[in-house]
Amino acid sequence: MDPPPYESVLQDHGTNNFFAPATVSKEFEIEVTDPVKQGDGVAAYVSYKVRTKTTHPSYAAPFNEVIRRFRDFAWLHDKLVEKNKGLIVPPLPEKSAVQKYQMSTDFIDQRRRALQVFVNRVASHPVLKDSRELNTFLQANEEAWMLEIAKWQAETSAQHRPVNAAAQWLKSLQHSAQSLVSGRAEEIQEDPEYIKIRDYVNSLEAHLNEAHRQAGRLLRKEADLGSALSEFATAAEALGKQDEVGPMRSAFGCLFIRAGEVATLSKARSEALVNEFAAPLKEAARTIKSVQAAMGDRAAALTAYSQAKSDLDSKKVRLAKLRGTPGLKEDKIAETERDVNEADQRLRNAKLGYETIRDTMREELNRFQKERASEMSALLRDFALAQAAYTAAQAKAWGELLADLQNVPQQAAAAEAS
Amino acid sequence: MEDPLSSNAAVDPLDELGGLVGETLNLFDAPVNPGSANRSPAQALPAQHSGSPGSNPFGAAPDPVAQSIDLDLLGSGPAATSSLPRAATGAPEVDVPLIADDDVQLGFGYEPPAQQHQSSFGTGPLGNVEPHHSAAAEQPSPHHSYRELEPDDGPSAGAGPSTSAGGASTSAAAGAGAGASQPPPIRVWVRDPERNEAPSKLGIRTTYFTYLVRTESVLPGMRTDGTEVRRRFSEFDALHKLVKAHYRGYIIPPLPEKSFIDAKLAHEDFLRLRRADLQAFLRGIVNHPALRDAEALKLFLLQPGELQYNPAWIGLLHSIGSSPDGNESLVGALGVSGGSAGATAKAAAGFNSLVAWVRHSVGVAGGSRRELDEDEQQLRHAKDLMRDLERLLQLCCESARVMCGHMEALAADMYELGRNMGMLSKWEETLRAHSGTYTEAGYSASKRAADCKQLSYATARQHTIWKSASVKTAASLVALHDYYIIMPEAVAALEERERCLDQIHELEAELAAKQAELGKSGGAAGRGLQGRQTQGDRRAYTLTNAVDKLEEQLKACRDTYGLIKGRNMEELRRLHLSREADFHAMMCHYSGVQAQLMQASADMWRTTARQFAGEPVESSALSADDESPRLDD
Repeated sequence: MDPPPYESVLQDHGTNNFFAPATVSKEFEIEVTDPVKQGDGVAAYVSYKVRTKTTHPSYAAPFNEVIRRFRDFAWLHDKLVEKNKGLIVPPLPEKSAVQKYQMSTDFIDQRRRALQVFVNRVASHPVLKDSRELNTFLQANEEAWMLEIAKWQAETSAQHRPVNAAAQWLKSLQHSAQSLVSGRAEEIQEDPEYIKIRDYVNSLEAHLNEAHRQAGRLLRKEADLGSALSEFATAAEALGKQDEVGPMRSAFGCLFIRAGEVATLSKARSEALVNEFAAPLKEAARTIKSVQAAMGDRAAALTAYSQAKSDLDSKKVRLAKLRGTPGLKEDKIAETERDVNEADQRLRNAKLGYETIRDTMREELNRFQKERASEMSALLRDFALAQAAYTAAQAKAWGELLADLQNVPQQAAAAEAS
Repeated sequence: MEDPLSSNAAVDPLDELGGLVGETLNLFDAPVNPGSANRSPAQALPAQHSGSPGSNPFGAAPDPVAQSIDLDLLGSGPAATSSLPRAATGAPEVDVPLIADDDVQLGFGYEPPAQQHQSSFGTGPLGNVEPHHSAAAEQPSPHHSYRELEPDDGPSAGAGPSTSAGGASTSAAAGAGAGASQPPPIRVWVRDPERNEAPSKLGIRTTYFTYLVRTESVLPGMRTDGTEVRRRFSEFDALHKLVKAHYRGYIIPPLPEKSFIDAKLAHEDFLRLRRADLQAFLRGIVNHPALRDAEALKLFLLQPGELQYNPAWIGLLHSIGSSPDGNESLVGALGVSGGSAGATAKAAAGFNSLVAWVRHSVGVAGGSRRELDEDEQQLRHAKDLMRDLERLLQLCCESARVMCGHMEALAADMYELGRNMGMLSKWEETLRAHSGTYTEAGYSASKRAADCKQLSYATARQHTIWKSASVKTAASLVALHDYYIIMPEAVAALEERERCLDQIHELEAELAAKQAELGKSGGAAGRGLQGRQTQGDRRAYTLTNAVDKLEEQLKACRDTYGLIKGRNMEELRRLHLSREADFHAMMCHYSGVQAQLMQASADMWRTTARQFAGEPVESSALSADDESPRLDD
């Protein structure tokens, strides 16, 4: 199933396009709306209404509405990551402590959009959409939900889990140092295909971030240009007013009006594009982070796998040594054999774990790439369309100004002749 | 970040991107104008030249010329003629060639917007099809335009663009606007700054620059089809002084400020700017109905060799040389009428002007206490208006400059985004190469690569559009700056009259005092003794003499005042009319440029959007035309 194109995912709920025919075939249509500020001071948070319309068989009702806050979305995200190693779980918007306390309307609205994108992405993911977590998130009533959250909070505080990339990396470093010391450098190699993709993804993130930055700057500049234009128009109008009522004054008046139109246009446009162009680019960059997280999981699994392997190897060597040593106690050998068997079991588990992740990821990465292709296409097309519409509107405004000015020259010529 | 406009580097920044975008941009250009598929504007432009005479409404008349508008709005350099902070932009002045009939077109019948739409994507700023705008096409490199286009415009034909010559040229503009299609009777160009060295008076070798001044004229008494002389700045300066002295009360076009440091450094930007300013100055004079009859101008334009050795020139300089600035005309008038009284009159005039100046500056101007006649009051009011106008124009110029700066910044950002997208595309391409074209991953990667590339082309084009937008917008608004710098001159011309009036009042006061004294002494003489009578007679005689002289002076002064007043009135009327016409033309031009650019962008984005949708690229501008009505609704 094709992922929803940006325009449908990001559609403002104010316009009716969200339930437009193009997206009607979807199993889920989820809206995040009505951000309401709750509480005060440090404990303040924003709650959102999550409205679900679904045809999924495991859902009791086709329509559902729950109240969720950012923390709850984070729950969904973390649970999904935890349960679905190797899958690319859509990213959450960044947590921003500073902006959160400012609680500006812009920030809240942007976050609302980002959350809507997030939950829709989860719901359109071929695996994640069937997850129990999503079900709970979308349907659980107040009490059940509080229970879940409480449980989760207890868990997280118990096993404070900084399984971030740095820790992963340290671990693998430790391991490779270990294997270096033990003289066993034969690692289980990742397949080269994957390594290429991994490198690609890593550098892609930088590019996407850069693109986002650029886009943001560009849009700001367009807004600047709009305001510069209106300033110019104001100055020109003042200049026109210097003269007594006459053709020049009316000409500058026309300019003022039209330029005002254009300025308003460009301001509104750049605001819209921040949401429609810059935000998706940002999200794309965030998604890369998710991919990297999945890759981190995979690396961890691989490390575990190769660790188990070297462990087994060393145990086997020890067993062989023991066997080769005459006059040793039978039970010692039996114990070592048991160890070897256990290690073997662990190895098999680790291998299974790694291979599951690997297989999942193979498909997942393909899906991800394909999705990105169509999204990118939609995104860029939308950008181009928006630019086209905007510039066309501008051209029209200027053309009208020109037409307005056409009415003046006869008077001017007459004045000149006299 | 490198300012794209200021870079005189041989490499057009677009070429850099063009390496990436190259083939497609060429593809994109080729169908539009097969004749000049080459993207280099410097090469493309001659083609337009050859093309434009055929399409110009005046047939073979040498009127339509690629005319360089000297883009003061964008200009930089501390040698700015005014306090307009052009130096802040850092961008050098750019010569934007504009076809002269562009102005004419603007004057009385700009192309209606409906037809503008025909100027589709391709024929916009990148294309060269439209005759009116073609010469205003792409100028990414100011260097090119200066070096290569400028020499081109002379021989092919000539024209005085109303906009660049400033307020003083406005009669020409007004004429063009009213539909008079004859070329201006006299045209001048200033170009080719050349470095020279000469020992100065102190024996130190100094460097100076001379400029080639070319004149074509059909004026009676000055007929020439291309006299070229080399003149240095000090000669321009002297010309300015001479014209100013002989034409009191007229608004003299401003001369760029003398700059010692920059001239020595001979920065290229500085030279370009100064050349443009000098040209504007000369054009201002030759397009002025009265100033162009100046004897000094004739000498300046037509006399070969260095003027400092020219006896006629020296004579002219001498006639104004010894008197203080601003009173030459009066002195001349007195010299004619008074004869022997000349020397004293000179001194008196100098003193009086000093007194008048002091009074004026402390705010107790003698005139203000007196009854001012209606004309005078009106003219004083006009002066205040001029001051206001100057302020407003400055504001306008400033905001226009900011606006153009923003456009340029936008262009730079577009370029950056394009480069970024290009890089992204390259990355996807690498992935495709890794995974092979026929795998799923490879397929999607190549799709993404194509999309990113598409956008990078689009932004590259948009970059060009914005860049030309900033240049063209500045060019279209150059009249603002022209009028801005003329305002102080207008005020000066009006003050010239006030000074003259003050002088009259001075003389009147003096005369009244003398006459009172004479009356008194006359009375005393009647009553007095015989012995003192001769003495009284002698005094009375001297006084009468002085009174006569004063009356003579006063008459001359009044004449001068009347002359200056007439000139002032005439100039104000002319300025107002030309301002009206020029500003209107400017607004038309400006909105036309904006509409055209926006239309070009819209068409470009539309095409891009269609390409994203996977439609094949129609290579003709025709398809864009089909498209426009639909999307314009």
